[in-house]
Amino acid sequence: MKTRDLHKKTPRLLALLFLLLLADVQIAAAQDTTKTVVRQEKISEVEVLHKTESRETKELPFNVNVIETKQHFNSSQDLNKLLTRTTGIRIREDGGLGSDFRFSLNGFSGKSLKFFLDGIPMDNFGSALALNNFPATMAERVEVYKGVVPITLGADALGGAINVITRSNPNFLDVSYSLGSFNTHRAGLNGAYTNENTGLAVRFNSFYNYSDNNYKVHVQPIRGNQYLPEQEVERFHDSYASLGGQFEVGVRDKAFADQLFVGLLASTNDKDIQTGVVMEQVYGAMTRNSSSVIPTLKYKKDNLFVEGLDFNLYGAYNMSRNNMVDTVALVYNWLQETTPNTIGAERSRTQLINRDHEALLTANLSYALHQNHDLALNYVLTDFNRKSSDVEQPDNVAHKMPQRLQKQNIGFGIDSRFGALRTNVFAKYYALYAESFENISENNEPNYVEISTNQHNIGYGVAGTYFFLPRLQMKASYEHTYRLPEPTELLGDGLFTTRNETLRPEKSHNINLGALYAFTLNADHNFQAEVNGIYRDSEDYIRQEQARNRPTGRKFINVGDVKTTGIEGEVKYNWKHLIYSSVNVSYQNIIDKTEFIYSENLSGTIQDRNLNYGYKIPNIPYFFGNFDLGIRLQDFGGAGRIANIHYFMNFIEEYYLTPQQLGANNPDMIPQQIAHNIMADYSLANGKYNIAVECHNLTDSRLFDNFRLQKPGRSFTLKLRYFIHK
Amino acid sequence: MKTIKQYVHVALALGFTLAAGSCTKDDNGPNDNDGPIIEGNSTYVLGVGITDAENNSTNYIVHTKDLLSGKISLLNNGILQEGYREYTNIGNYFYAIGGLGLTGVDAYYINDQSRLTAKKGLVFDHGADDYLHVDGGKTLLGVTVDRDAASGYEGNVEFFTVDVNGYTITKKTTVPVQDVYKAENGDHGWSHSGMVIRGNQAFQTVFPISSTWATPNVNTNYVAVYSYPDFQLQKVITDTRTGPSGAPLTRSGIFVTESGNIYTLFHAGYGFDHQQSLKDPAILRINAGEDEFDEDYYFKTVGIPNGGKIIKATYVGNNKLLAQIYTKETTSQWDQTDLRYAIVDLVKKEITAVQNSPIYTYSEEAFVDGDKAYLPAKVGTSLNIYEVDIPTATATKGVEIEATYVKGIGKLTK
Repeated sequence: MKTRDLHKKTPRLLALLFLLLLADVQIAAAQDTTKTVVRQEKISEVEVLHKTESRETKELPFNVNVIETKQHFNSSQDLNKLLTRTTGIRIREDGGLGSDFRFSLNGFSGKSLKFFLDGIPMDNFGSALALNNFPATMAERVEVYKGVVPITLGADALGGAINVITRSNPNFLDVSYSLGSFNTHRAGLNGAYTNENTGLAVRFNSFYNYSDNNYKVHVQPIRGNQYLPEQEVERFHDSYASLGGQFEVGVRDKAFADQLFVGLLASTNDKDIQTGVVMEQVYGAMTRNSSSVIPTLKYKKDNLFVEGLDFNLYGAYNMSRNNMVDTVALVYNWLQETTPNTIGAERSRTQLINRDHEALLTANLSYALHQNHDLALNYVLTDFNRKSSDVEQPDNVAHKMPQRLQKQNIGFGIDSRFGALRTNVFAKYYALYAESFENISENNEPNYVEISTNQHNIGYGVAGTYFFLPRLQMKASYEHTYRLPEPTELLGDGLFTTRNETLRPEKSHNINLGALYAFTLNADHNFQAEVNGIYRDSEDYIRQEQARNRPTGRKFINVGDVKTTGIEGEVKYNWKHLIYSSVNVSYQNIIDKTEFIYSENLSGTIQDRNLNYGYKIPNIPYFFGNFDLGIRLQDFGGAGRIANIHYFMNFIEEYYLTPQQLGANNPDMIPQQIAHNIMADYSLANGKYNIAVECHNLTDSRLFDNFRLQKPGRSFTLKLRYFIHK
Repeated sequence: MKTIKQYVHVALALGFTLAAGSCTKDDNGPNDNDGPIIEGNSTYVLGVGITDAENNSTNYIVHTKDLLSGKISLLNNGILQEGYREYTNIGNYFYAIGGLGLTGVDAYYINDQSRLTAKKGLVFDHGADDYLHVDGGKTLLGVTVDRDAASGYEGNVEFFTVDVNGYTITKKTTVPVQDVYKAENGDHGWSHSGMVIRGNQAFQTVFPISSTWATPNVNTNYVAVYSYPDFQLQKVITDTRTGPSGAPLTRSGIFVTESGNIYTLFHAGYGFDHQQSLKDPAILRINAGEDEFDEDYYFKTVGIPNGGKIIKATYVGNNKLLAQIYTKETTSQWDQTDLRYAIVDLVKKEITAVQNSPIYTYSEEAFVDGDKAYLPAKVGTSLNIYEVDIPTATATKGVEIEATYVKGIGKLTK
């Protein structure tokens, strides 16, 4: 019901958007035609500049995907939806808008991947400041580093890093609103204003999302301890609302700073929870919400003190609150009938609140040693504290003792150019300090004391790229990388899990090998092709030791080796800027190389043979691809107008929830899925006014990202967008 | 020349795509849901599980005519069970209870086409702590103790019965948990550790334990006595000669003989947090026709030949238990290593070592078939079923199971 409260704020927000829009229309109307011409030229410059930045990133020796969001600004899709259309990435969602998702890059997910917003680590920013809430219009591009991560993004990322780069245009306004099936509303307000005389600048990005997610699903409701026949029902407790934004004010091009901005990121969301891990597990009252307030500081100065010494610094202080509420003692079924639940809740009675405080600091120093050689030094500090409370369990000792994790990363690298060869050699130093608590009691009276520990590790890597031809680029990169342990993993939780200070970080040897080739046939047929091979040898995964019927006294141990080989390919084509198309496929062979699973107790080590040894890790998509085809009609219906029709298809091969080779005809399968989507948009006045219609899941296929959790059927969206810039 | 160059370009591009796209293999999806054909009149069925490196457990049902030789592999064999399962063989059914997120009940049987197949569609409100066979195998009785620390250890003991042939829940009864046992300072609740039905009464052993699995009250043996079949709490009897009987998860707290004598088993091993001194492991008796402890019966299981801490036991008839017993004296709370088989004579107060018993890890439920019992033993990384001949107290190593654990054994006939 809180979700609806947030949704009630929509009219206010829309009024604000409208006012801004009105103000800007008036400004625009006051401008004369000569200015428009000047502006037109600037647009072209900006476009060229953008392409260069993106291409520059692409030309780095790293295995990086750059998702240009600009071409998707008219789409109502969020960043997750755009990212899942590129190679190596699968984003699996539990349901509709705002549902839980699992981001997977080359089979890595969870803590193996690190997310950044303009270079600031955003892993603990709360669930409203996540990629499934960000509209495409908020970002200029998204960079996905696979396996080998440049030192500027200092992090203990085992499998890669994703950096969202917000729009840098100094003067623009982008307002959008979309309305879609299942009572889905999405709004975006992004803009920047720079006073060229004073250098004073403001920037803002904001979003609002709401959906009832009341799409229809096919289920067998349970009544009186028996399944009823399969029927179509509407989801009834799945609404989601999120509101968030970023506001920055500062100066550009001053003697003391090229850029100095202070800002605030703030967000809130509310989510109703409809199902558990399978459709049969129905909830009707459980909710979850989060809010975050994050002040930020950005400073950038080139040629600091001496020529060629560039410095930039990001600072942020993250204050997030995550709350889960389960207090209704009822069992719901899909027909919204209820029966009393003896356990005082739907799943487990809780009103848990996690309060996270996190200080973040990133500093980059680079020095042009020579025309072709740059030195770079990077320092990242993250200091994370969590305090939990639950009015349902006021005496829970785990909530009384705080947990702290401080990480410091220092990176050092040299970027060099030798003719057509470019290399990057780097080393990373990781330091970790963790605090938790432990029960040292020898009798029945608990006696908790604070404990802490330190760890240090060094990672390193090398990346190179060589241009055989101006448009044929080869890339190779390698990194020995780590994922550092969390406080609970190292020090236990004081209750069920015991400390293990001998725990090592997860580590991986990551190798990428790739080629990019662009060519033109008959002047009009432009092709770009890219293929990348990946190899990951990951060891020492941190997992809880296992033992049958042993509820306490277990610890986290290093168990589990995984070898991944994969290949990804993409071909892009365009003809006379009229027809554009792309096809990509990703295949990843993720093999369990853990031969024995073990646990330790007083009597020694208990070993179990891992029956999945040598086989695929289950429950990870291993073969998927995308196909896009678009037609762009320039000056359709008049000068300065553009019409686009865009079809895209997404394919995922079937995969298994449980080890495929075990059991006869394993039925725990997530079936092969093909989703067809179509979108048409029309821009007037050189992109100032935009209208778009979209249809997702055109054929109304039954889609599942996770085992049996049904995703929305066919849906429609209408989006209106207003955009000006100079 | 230009044309050749173009072909090279196209070939290169196609090559990239093909290189990426050609790495897939065709897989056969599931197509046969009819179940395996059972030859002969009967078969043994086993509920087995595997645990992978990520701590996910998956359960399968396999079948064999012969528990004494060979090897059972799960490689493309076995009926996959959704989620984690408990198994119990009742009547001519092998119940697989559990699932993903909810408690489904799949009742496996051999159908008239000789296929091992299941009735499906029944769902329990939640999994039970124990499943008992009553009314000569016509009724399955589920017992659950709700031990919720969040609500101050309030909640209910729930009893529900299932008509095995009708495949329906027939009755649910609840008793407030604090009517049975309530800690003075409210710092713990209790767990179910065993139950037997005798005539018109049900006897349940009570195991005091907190939400963090601490066991602050280990000096009294509590048995709750209910009327049967309507489960009205009659009284709770206590005895301070031993601590609480059985243990959570492994149960084995209480047994009833053919003559109606009831025995409780305090073992001071698995499940006790060992933070205070524990009384001697011992068995107590409630005589037939009575519902109080027999003050004259006391059977200490240590300090006698072949004695030790019996952390799990199965009643095998004729006043005998097939016991799973530590070979060591010092143990810790969840220790299930260094176990051996023994036969316990409850009347003679004697323990007989089982010949050829393995020294193994993990105590699991034994399946009794006439005067033989079958139970799994994990030795090193190998898992085998052992047959124990009760009259001669001799074990024989049987079929090897390529799985992490065996959760239940049963026998189905056509």
